[in-house]
Amino acid sequence: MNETEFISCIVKYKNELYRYLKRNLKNPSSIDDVFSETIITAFEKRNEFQEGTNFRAWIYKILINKSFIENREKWNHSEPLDKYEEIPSHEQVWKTGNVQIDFEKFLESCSDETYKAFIKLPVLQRLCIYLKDVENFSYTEISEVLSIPYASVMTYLARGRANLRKNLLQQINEKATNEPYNSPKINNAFPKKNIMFFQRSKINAVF
Amino acid sequence: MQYSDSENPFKDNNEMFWLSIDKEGFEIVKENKGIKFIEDNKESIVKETKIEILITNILKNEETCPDKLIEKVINQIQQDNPNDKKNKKRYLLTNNKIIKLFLPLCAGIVFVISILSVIYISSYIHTSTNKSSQVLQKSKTIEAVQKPNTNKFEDIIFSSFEKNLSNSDSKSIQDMINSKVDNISINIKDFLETNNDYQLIGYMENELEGGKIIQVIFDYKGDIVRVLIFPYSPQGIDLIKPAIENGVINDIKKIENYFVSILGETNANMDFFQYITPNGNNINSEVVKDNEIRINSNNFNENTSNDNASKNKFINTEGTLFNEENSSTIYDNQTTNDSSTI
Repeated sequence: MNETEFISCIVKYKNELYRYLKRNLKNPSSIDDVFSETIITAFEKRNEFQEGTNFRAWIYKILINKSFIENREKWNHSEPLDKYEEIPSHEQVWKTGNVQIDFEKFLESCSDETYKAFIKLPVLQRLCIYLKDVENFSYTEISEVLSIPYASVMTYLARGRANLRKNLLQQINEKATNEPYNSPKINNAFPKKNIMFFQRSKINAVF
Repeated sequence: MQYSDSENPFKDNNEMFWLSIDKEGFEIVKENKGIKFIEDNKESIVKETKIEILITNILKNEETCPDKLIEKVINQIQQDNPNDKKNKKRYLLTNNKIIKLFLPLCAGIVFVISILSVIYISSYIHTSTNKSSQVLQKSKTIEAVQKPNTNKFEDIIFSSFEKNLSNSDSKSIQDMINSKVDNISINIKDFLETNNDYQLIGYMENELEGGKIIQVIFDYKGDIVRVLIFPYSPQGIDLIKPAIENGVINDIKKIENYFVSILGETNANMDFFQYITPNGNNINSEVVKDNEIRINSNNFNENTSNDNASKNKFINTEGTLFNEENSSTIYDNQTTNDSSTI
């Protein structure tokens, strides 16, 4: 791959590489540095790239490695899946916290909480969700980028989706506990019909 | 439980459900669990799919890479790229007009300088060779002047031994010698009568500038013994000096205007000097030690007088120059009979 081809590929994928860092780096101030490092490393190793293979998957490998180093996360491929509990069903997930909320409305207004819930996920679950849902990688490509088996990709993905919802519910509960009752943001997100707020208002009325 | 590719990972309905909320997963679930599973969970799948799309939209949020950042990175790549540097050099060489003019000029200057340097070096080598050859010639000349002329002596004395030797009886040789030398007379007949071990082989005569070299050749118990008589002149000194230095001469004595020397491979005591007498009873003989000879032939005449003898210079057989305070004492103590001390 010559320099011109490399640069054209980088220009093509620049936005999604940048977005990945924006979403996956714990320290936002290092985004530019990690982005530059990734591109330069890829350029230096461009002779290792085999023509005709997936450039996007190849450069994502480098990008993910760099972000791991930056986040000081462990790249543990051999992490056993059986250390997790059984994957919860969607009914089990929604029973968490024993609340019934308008989840869709919450998501429309609370992007920060969504991001917090996402970043709390274990690394591989988070990456599988991100690469599949956000960047629309195929299961095979994810398997290649993360160097894990195809079946593991599906397991991490399923478990990650269930856990993401659990984390979101936890965020909602925390927000409901910490925020003042008349918070406009919460009010917008969750109208008075929301059971959780109804319960809080009932408690306030009692005291 | 960890799934492997070889196993069927689709036994877990919960996992299948969560996979079914994206398009690729939906197809996999449909294929592996059948349409019934989809229909049974249709409402939940639709709901979770909507939620997943909302989460995805939040995470996507259409982030764009700043143009400055990507420009900076690309510039950095191009600066660090050695191939790009080569390309820039090529571009400069091919397109820059100043360089186009400058390069031939530089090449011309370099060419001229190289030619001049070659010429200079060749002339330098030539002159240095000439100088060295001149020096060599000079040194050869000096060497030739200074070199002990041993070969000349040997050529004269030994080389023509067979050719010029003329056998005669002692009386005729004695008369012939006496007729050729002035001031001295030689009595070979008495010598042979006194010394029975000696037998006269012959007589030989060679030309020397300013005179002749006369050889009387004896046989002494199978060895050749020669008596040389040659003029006491600068040429004679030059001839005999290297022979003395090389130890060829056994004994030498100056008698009147002649040097009489004895050569031979023998250690025999040869008292031939007793049988050489100056004419007119004016015995003025000087014995020159075999390891001493006058080297300054220009002062030769001065050296012969006793008045200036105190300033004479002598050289020993090793060629070491030394001054003799009063050389006359050497000669005064030497008589014709003192050859044994020489």
